[in-house]
Amino acid sequence: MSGRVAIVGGGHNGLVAAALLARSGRDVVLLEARPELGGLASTRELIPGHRVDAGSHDLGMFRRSVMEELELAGHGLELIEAPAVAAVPATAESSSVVLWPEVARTVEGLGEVSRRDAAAWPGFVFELAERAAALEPLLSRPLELADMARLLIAPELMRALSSPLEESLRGRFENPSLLAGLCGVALPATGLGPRANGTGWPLLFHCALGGSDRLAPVVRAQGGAGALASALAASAAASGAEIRTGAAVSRILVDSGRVAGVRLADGERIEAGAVISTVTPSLTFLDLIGAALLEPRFVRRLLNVKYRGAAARLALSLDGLPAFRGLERPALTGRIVLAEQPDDIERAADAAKYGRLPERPWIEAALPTALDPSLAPAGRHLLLATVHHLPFDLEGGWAAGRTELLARVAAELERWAPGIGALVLDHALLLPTDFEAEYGATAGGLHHGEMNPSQSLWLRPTASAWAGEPLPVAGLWLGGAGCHPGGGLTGLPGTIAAVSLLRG
Amino acid sequence: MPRRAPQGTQAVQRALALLRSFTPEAPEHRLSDLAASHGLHPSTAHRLLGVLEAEGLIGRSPDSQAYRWLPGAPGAGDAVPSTRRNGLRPLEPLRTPFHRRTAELCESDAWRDWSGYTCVETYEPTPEREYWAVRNAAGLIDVSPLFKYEITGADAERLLDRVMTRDFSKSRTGRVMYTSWCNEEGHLLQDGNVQRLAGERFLVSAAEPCLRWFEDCGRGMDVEVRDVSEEIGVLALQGPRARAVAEAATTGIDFGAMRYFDLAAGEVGPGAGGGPVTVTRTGYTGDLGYEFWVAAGHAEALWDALVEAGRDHGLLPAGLLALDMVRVEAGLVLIDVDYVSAAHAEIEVLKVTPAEAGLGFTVKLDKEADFVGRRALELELDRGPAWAVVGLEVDWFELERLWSEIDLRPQVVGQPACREPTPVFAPGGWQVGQCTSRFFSPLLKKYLGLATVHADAAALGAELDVEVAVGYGRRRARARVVRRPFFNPARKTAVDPMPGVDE
Repeated sequence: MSGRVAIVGGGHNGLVAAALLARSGRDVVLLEARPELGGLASTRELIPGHRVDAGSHDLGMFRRSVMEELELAGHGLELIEAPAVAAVPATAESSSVVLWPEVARTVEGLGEVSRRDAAAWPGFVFELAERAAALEPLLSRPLELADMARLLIAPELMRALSSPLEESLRGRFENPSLLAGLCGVALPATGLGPRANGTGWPLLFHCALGGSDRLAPVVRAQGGAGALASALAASAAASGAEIRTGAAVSRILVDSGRVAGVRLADGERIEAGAVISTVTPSLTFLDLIGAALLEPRFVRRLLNVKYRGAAARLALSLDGLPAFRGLERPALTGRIVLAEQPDDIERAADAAKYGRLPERPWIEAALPTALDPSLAPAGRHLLLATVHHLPFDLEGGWAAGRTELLARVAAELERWAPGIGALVLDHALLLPTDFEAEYGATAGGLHHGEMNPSQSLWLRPTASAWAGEPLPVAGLWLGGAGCHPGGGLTGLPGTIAAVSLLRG
Repeated sequence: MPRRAPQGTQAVQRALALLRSFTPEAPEHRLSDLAASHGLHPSTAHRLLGVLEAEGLIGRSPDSQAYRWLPGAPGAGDAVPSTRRNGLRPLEPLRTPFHRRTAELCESDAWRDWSGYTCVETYEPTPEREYWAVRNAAGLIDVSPLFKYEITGADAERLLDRVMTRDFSKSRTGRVMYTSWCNEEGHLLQDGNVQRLAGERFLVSAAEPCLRWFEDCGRGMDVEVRDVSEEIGVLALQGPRARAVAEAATTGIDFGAMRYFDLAAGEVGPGAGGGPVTVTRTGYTGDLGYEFWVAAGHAEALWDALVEAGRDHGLLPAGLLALDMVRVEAGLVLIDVDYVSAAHAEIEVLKVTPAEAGLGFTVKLDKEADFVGRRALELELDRGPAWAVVGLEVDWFELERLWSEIDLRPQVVGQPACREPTPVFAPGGWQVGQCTSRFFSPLLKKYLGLATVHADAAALGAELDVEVAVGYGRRRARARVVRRPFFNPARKTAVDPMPGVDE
């Protein structure tokens, strides 16, 4: 049996696993189908002269300890922390709200819109931090049986993570913009409206991995998210890992119930005694291994995995900084949540549920050039508008829906930042179908499986398989967002896969 | 005794059902349409409609060609509450493609639900003549409620080899294979027949639905699984005269060349034009027999051709009670009677492996394909099955002695097969299993049972006690493990079976 480890997929999780394993002296080969590394956290020139992040661009949840262990700073990674966490601009009907990492600063701003909310904020942050701290250990290492007991003896935590987010928040706060802003931090790429059960989970997840003592600040890599992938690849290569791009894995080879290696689309066979797959569980098992080698009940569980949470990414090259109502420049460095109230997000989720485009798409915007001007030519700004809660199977198809989506997003942006349309010089659009075709995001879901309690912890991706536990094929490990702890730019699934594999 | 409706209520029910057909939305109906939609013989429908008309509840259309709704007439569709008229569809029993024919002949009015279909339990008040027809002449049994799945595609054989315990790499076009299939633990899900209609086309018949199971097992294969249960009618023609009847009722099939478990395609009727039919030399009676698989549209033509051809041979339509009697004589286990499918066994101990259900011969561990449940069944091979299905013959003299204590002769003769499980004991000792089917065989003149017992109590000739109901009392009667099948005529498998062979 070969001692080599083959890693399928060069997203940040695959790269983390490769770097950690190579550092531990393992013979590692990483195979990425695309020409660039980073997967859903890659930076591409989607608009000429611009460095556009295709997917995730916030490193706020990425493990600092892993960055240090892999010496990413030494391999060229420079972090920029944004002053703001999230901001909701004002509209004709609603006030603007800015959430800062510093409690006092947020309280000061909230005082102008709601004295009650300002008074409630510190207690909320404290309680959130407490719960997040209780959850954090479960998310950052392979799960243990004792973790089940840890959850069971924390009924308030269980209740918070399984409840509808909107309901929990409305008990504390009254200002609609503030409620929308908090939902906007928690719900991206979940496909879930804030009134859905289990939406408490993504907020806790976010806080647990974002520092846990405060709301996670937005952190960017200088040069775009792809710089993280480059630094990880450099670290892995320095430890002896072989990193190959343009190498599409077409098959995970299985011999008598054990992985034997992988085969590439061009027919090349790579022997390996262990395989870490960071592509979605559906691709891993149904496409790369094949259902015929799996027990039917396991196949049935895989087919039951929900991949909802499709999104589109519109990148706009702007001739100047857009004017979001009521927001100063520092407030534009974090997430910009374009929703007046939680129900705006709920309505978008409703439309998606029925396969339709929302009347008013829910947009999470970011202006990375507000922190890192190097991403666009001088004088220009780059706006990344992520349109969340879109149906993957759009009624009438995406070929026809594309124009309508653009029109609705343009109208919505204009409502929040009057005059922005006149600033647009160029644009690029990635649809849910593009995310699936180009990045293997099954059904366009950016988290490799919906993020809710029914698909988390021991249940991710299915009741019978999670990172760190034996899968039906010996020598195979899942290491992508589809397994514990889940999606987001955390590096944790890859870390856990590497740790589990080293433990044997 | 079969259930009988109180005298006359059936006519009232039928008349009311006819009356409800007349609504403001559907005011006019022709006699033939009504007869067809209600499953009535035209003369019956005519008689009932005549009464309704004479009573002023319905009228005639101006040209007298159709019956007509009378506004305001009591009882008509607008007055009788009907769930259908509220936009709700009542849960109605399904009807097999032969229903109009079987309904006409079902004088006992004893019906039974089988997988949602209304099926004849006995045509006559008791099943006796139907039973004897199967053993001495020929019986015609509507077994259409079987679930049928058509499996097609380049990987059709591969899928079956993965699902089934038999070796499908050895299956040949024109043959039928009897097989079991199991879950991942090697526990029996079902047993059934698989016809290989062509290189890449199979037809599976099963007692219970299993579409999703086949689909899940075939995920990623080049194969299509289609539920054709409602498209195909099935008639079992069973008994020593079956070949003669089948030959006269079809065209294009060489019955002399048809071996046991062969299949052949032909045409319905002595002349061409009756529609295509597939014939398999299979059955659930342990006798010479054939099963006819026909598109629903040609079902009645098939029935008529077989009944016509059977006139000279003593053919009788036979109901499910007769079928149950002959299948026990044949020693054939029945799902959810003699074994519990692992698909819906409520507790672990009810699940059995094929060997434990008497179907060990269908498990081919030497086959190449890695079928579902293989590893568990390989382990069982070392350990040996925990249970065995045995044939029991209850000591007649002991039965007579037990019944004589309450001054009766054994009340088991002339009864249909009983499916209520009763305990089986080591002689004078602990319970070692249960007897799941039993009946008095009129042919063999023996009280016989199928039982599942601990493997170490299953030796041929071993003595066991079986609980019997004697009046209100529960007693133990001595029984002996005997060979299965209890009745196994040479004609069942004979090459070129001719009338006269062990008749």
